[in-house]
Amino acid sequence: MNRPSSLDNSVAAAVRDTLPVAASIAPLALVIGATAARSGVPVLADVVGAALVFAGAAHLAVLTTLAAGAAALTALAAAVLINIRLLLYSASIEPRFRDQPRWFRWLGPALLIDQTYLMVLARDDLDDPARFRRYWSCAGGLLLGCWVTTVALGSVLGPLLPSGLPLDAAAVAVLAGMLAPRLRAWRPAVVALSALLAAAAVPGGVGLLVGIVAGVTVGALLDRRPS
Amino acid sequence: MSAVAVLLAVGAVSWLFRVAAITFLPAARLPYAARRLLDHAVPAALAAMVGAGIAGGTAVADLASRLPVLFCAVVTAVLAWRMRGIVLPVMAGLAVAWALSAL
Repeated sequence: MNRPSSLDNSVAAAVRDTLPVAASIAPLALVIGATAARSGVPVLADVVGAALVFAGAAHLAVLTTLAAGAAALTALAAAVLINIRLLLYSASIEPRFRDQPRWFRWLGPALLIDQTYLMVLARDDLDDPARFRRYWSCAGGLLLGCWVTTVALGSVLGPLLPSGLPLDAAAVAVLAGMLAPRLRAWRPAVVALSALLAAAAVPGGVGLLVGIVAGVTVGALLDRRPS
Repeated sequence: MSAVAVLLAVGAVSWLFRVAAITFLPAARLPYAARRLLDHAVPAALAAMVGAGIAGGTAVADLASRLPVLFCAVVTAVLAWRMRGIVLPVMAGLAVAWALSAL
């Protein structure tokens, strides 16, 4: 009997939680759209890519790495390494999907991004599978819609911007803003510093892969030290 | 391979990552060392992109021309480290970059 109320509650909670999150990811979406337009990627193709990848840092990595002259496989490898964290999120959130219908176990994870993962972690009222399904679908779907729309907007506005604007600075700023909060412990900070210096020291698209390998290697070496 | 093809490939791989531990691969059972490597991959990849973006494809000796981007990254990172959210830090970083570029 309380189904409509429960439905309203979970949907309203999802909308309430999602709107500020959507606002926070809008700048990155605009930068991605504008960068794609500057790189000659057709608007429709970039919008389809945004919907399929649904991960800003990886999407931006593809665009900036190719623009720097790197090979397609280098761009693919960089994006895959960036998105490998989704494996960890997937493992962490698996209990929420355990009692879900099969179709949702296959399709629902498509909405798994940093923000939806953190939104679900922050709520303690999603134990009921149906409630979780409604919340996840509504929040993730709304974020995906906002994301794709904003990328499209960036693609349309990108060519209209003055050519002197340092769009590459915008991309770097967004990435630096995403990186910094992850560096509160010293180990990831050392890993990041190693990767940054190595990537900056090697010109061209190869620098990105050199930096990633250097960072992961330093991290592995730090793990072997007794704490 | 064009940017579109790479994006499609990244989308496919990303979906596999998302669905893997939920539907067919229990990632929680991965060895600890493998999970630690996955942990390092994220900051390493993001930092490498920042480094490559600051360098902008130039050699280290030419970095003077990239100072606006370097200061933009530093200002954004410091503010993002201290604040929640990245909107204001990114705006501040961009303001610094554009001001330095205009000098």
